[in-house]
Amino acid sequence: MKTILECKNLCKSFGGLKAVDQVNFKVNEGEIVGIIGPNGAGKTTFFNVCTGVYAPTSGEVWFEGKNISTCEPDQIAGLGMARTFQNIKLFRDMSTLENVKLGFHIQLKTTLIDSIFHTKRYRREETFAAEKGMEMLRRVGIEEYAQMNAGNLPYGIQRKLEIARALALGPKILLLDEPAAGMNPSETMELLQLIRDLNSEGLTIVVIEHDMKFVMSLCQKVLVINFGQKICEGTPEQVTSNEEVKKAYLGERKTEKARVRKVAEHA
Amino acid sequence: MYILEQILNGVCQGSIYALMAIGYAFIYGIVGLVTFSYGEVAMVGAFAAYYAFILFGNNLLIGCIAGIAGGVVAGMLIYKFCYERFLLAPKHIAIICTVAISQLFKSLAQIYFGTEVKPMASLFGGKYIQLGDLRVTYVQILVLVMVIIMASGLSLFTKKTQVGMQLRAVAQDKKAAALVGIHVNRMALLGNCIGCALGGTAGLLLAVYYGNVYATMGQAVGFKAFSAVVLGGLSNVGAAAVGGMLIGLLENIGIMFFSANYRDTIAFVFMVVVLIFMPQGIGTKKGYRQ
Repeated sequence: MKTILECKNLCKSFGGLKAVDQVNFKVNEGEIVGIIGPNGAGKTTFFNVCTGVYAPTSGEVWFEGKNISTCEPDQIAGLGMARTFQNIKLFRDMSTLENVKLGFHIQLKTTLIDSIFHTKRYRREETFAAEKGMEMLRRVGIEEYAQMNAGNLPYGIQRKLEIARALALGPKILLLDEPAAGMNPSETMELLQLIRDLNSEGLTIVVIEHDMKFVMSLCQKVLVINFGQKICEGTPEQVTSNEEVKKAYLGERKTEKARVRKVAEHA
Repeated sequence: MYILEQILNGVCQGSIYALMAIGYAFIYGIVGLVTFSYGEVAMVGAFAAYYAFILFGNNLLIGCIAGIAGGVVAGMLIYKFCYERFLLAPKHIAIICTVAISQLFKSLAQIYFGTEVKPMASLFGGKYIQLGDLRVTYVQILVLVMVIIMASGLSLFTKKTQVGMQLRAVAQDKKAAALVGIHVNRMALLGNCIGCALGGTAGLLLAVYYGNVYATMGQAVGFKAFSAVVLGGLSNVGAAAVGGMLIGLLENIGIMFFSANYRDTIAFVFMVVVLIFMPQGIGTKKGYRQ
């Protein structure tokens, strides 16, 4: 299997805090990979470094055999890596459809001159973006909200819209940061199905999620991060039976004093 | 009929301030920083138009192009010096840079264009239309028409074109914009230049309206545009325009009661009052986070 995303000794520090510490990690084409870890473990920072929001302090990120450690976020998006955010980042004062259309712009070739003079190309591409945009909205099942302001949508719908916008980029890999947060159980089931469908069409997916059932039923491979470090990687079964992971989630059977000391060591 | 005339004057001046306020709010929205060099952008636009009139005869179209071009060039320089390297740095760095570049522009203008007040070409030779008791000069009509064209042009541009949509996206969320593949720095440059084009046009209109240009003309109008934008709630373009119009009207109605010497005082006292009683501006919902 071909590797699509690879992190080599990836580190990201904020002052003295090592948010991501020496993480080695590979994602193969066509996989669904889960990233889990306690709150504040560095999962989102890991995503941010991969997508170029932060430059890595040291180490490298490789995407499809290209070193993208120093690339800007918009370049990385152009290469085919799309993502959603834990705290939703939509263009709140635009309509749902406009949000998705913005995702398509990267694929369009219309220039400013075209749009001022309404050339044939402009009209063709504008129709293309509108039609494709509606298709994306149907895909995630929110087409009835197309004309509403994104900021006024219910929370679960905003999450879906973020996925639709990411899909509009035509990505090869999709990074989802807690996509099921704030969704009710039936919405979560729909999302699960959507991710499976997308994956069966060949899209590689990396997902951060707190809902264990969600991760365990969805992912072929799971990466566990704690205090910025990779503590385990493997199939869901391997991960759940791993001692380190149990410790990270359930704590150790030690005195309170030892726990405090451990926290202090890591801080 | 003195009051009607003053209201007409107020509307004309107010619409120039509104045009500047629109450009200013546009820049604030896209770059995310207040600028203190905007008045000098207007000054550069006015001088560009002044020299264009001298070189090419009193052709309004060429004057407009020169004014806009002057604004855009000034905008590019401001972007290069103040924003390009400092977009992610603490905000005060870029803001102090804009103060510096404003002084630089002003001083260079005094060196190269001279310190004296130069008479602007009279485009219409004082022609006017008599509407009942009210006398509407061609210059006033020009001002109103230009402002309406520029403002609605900008509105159409941001709503109907893809580039406009990308600009709005950058204004709303830079991080998300970058991650849908929008080149945020390029958009910041473009947004700054568009805002400055409006500033340059406003400079041209000011010069034509008052019939003169001088190197320090940008100072007061720059701060009035800033007041208008503060009144409107910083990034709200529509409310900024209303703010500009209000300041123009207030100034001209104010000088009926006080002396004309207090023109600027009235505008700035008004701003202080607004800051005390309505610090969030008229265009921002309470509790809405920028």
